[in-house]
Amino acid sequence: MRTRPIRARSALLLLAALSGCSGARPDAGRQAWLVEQLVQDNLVWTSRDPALLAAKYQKMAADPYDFMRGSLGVYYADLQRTSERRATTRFVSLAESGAVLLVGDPHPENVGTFLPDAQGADARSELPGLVLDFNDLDGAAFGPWILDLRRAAVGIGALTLALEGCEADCREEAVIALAEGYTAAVLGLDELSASRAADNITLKLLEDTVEDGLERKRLDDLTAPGDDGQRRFLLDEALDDEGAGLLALSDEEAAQLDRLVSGLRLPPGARALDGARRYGSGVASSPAVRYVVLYDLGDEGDLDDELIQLREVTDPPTPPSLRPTLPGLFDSQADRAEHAPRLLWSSPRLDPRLDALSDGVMTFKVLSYSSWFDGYNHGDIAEDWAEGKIGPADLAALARSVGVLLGEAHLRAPTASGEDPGPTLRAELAQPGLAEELLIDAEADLSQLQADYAHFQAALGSLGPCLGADELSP
Amino acid sequence: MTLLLLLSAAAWSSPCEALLQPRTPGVPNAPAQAVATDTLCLQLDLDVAGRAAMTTPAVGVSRELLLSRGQAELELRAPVASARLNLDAVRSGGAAGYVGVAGESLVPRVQVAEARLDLTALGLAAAGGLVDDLWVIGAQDAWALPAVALTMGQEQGWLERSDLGLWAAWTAPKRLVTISASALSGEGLARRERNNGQNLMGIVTVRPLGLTTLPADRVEVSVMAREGSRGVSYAPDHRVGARATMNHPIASASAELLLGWGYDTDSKALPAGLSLSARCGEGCPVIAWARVDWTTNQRDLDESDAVTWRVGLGPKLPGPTVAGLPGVQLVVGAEGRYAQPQATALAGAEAAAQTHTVFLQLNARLRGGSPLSPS
Repeated sequence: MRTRPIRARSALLLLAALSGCSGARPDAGRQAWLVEQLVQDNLVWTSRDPALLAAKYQKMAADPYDFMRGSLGVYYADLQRTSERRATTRFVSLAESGAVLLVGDPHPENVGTFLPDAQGADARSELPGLVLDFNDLDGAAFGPWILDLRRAAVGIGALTLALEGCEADCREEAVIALAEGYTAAVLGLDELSASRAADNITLKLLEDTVEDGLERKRLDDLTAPGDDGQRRFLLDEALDDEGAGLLALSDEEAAQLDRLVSGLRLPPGARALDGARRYGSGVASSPAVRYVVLYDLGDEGDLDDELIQLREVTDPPTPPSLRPTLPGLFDSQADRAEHAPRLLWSSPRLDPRLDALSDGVMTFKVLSYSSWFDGYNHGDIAEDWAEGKIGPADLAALARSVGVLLGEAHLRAPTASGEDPGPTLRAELAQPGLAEELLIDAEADLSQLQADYAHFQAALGSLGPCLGADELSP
Repeated sequence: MTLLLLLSAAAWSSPCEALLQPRTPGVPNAPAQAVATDTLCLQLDLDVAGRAAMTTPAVGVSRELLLSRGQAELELRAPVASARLNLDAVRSGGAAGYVGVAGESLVPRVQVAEARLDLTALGLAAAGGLVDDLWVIGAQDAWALPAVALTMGQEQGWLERSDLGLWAAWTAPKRLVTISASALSGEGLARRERNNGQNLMGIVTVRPLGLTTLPADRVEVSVMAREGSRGVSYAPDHRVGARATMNHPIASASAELLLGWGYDTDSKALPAGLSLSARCGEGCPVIAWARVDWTTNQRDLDESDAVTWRVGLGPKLPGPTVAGLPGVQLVVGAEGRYAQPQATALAGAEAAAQTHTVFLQLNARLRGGSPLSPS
């Protein structure tokens, strides 16, 4: 494996230095608190690679939805702050209701398509073979079930910020649909089948996915056959202005990837053909180490070529818990990275390549990286909205789908005590008022998100791209 | 091996007997007898406790075996100077994380690394390094059972056990008054400096019985004020406190009030707490304690209070004593926490409103010292 020509870290450090990693100190108050939370949440990246962290902050500052994606820890910390802003919940009254396995961050961009083994597919999607489910479970942890719903509502709210004309009524319709979808899934109501009716947003995602999947678009975009006919990654010379790109591996990275690949559970006869380091994807985890690996099944030609991604997983933000510590069912980070999805997904083999590997203190989750595995994109949704291709009804249907997926996921996984969460969740939802409570919380949370986004932008301007944490860098 | 042999003697031979008496924080070490200035004494203090606990409601891991205390302290003392190192055991990866050392192993952490100066004749003492928070240590001494529970300020995260910095203290003759001043980083023992601000703390302790023939430490009244900041944003972290302690051979009691402006980089937080505790003293035939803490992180907010009570009992086992308590203790205890809707992690979650714990705990705190030859 080759050495990349320009070190991404050096380039980004230069970028950060030019931007000026220092500045005036902000006033005390919410902005200061926000900065502290972000500094603390991102300490691992600050100490390892501040340039990648600066790129993450830059991405968060460019879009409120991406700010939401990168600030789950802030959201959880805010919920735990004793303040007049906190509305009290009328739910989470039963002990086990606070120990449900949470998806962690169930915003719409964390829902996507899967192409499982044929026997694992169900008919939720209108297109055979594809399944919709949560595709990022890095935040999976045990906590009160209503947190996932509130966070999903924040995600939907953040989505609407870019949808012109989608104001309070439009958001209300979506949040009510989210609550209804969740309730229908948990209580097993008849309306569930109606909830599964695909909306135009989902239909477009499925159509695009099928088109890209059949064309093997991602494989073609990232690799090309060499002189020997074998595909290789198309490497970038350097990262682009947004810190994205596919770079050759350094010697250290190549050695790590070799170790990881040796532990991969690939089909019999599979051969790893090439590897590269991928930068700039995701938001919250964008500074994490990502490798992509090209492999085949040993046949001649490239028809059996596939891609997988190995991405570093760190500890998730801790949700407000009933106990100071709520250990669960997982033995290790690798165990959590692999088994939380298997417990929460509609099928344990939704992604046949799902795996988790440890390399020293680092843990990597392994996922398929083909075009069959795609997800909602808030930018695309905003574009379709602006062009009139989708409307409030589609948004509500999308929210309902997220609610259903969430309810089904919560029912599947045992609680931290190993109990079936069904009886507890059904008992909790037997009382009315979920949609009303969610509406109030969603508006308050969205309002706070917007205020925090403004604070964040201001803090980046005054404190610099590292939010003033320069001294904590290596 | 030499060190072990030296310590195995355990008996404090003169002149170390005079030097190795427990010290009141901030109070100059006062040898009871004349000690040569080149006397050097080594002291080892181990404080370990294991606990079996059961918590209700039984959610997640509700039956636990815990290392509730694991501390080792090594100190070299001379009449004027001393150096002290205190290590405690912490779970790597934190309470909920998986990224730790060799899994999430317990690892030693430096709690105190302190150089100390005692000018006994002048009543002056000073220390620098990773030093004790004098208010926290005073509260620990008043409560006397840190292996059972941390003091209110520590448990709530309002105060930390130690911090980088220095302190100086002066104690009046007959120990009537001790005045101390500290300048600390403000980030606590687990974080490096985040800003250019220092926490400044002053404590005044009055011992009115110093005017009588009774032991001065029997009644103490202390007040504290701290001006501080925390984090890269200089979030306010101010505290004031008051504490009254009564130490009688039969029973001891303490009341502590803490108020804060800012907490954990949240400048709007207004923590407040009152801790009332009582325990059997040296002359009591059993070990027994009762403590009630009333706390809030936002004293201007309704329904944000939490009350934690603790009671416990155990026989006095034979063996060496440390600070008036048996070195080895086997106790049973119970704790309960009642939280108002705004005091739970998720506001209003009734499932978190009440928790109760019963436990059985074995504590061993042993201390020994020996003279060393200065090299």
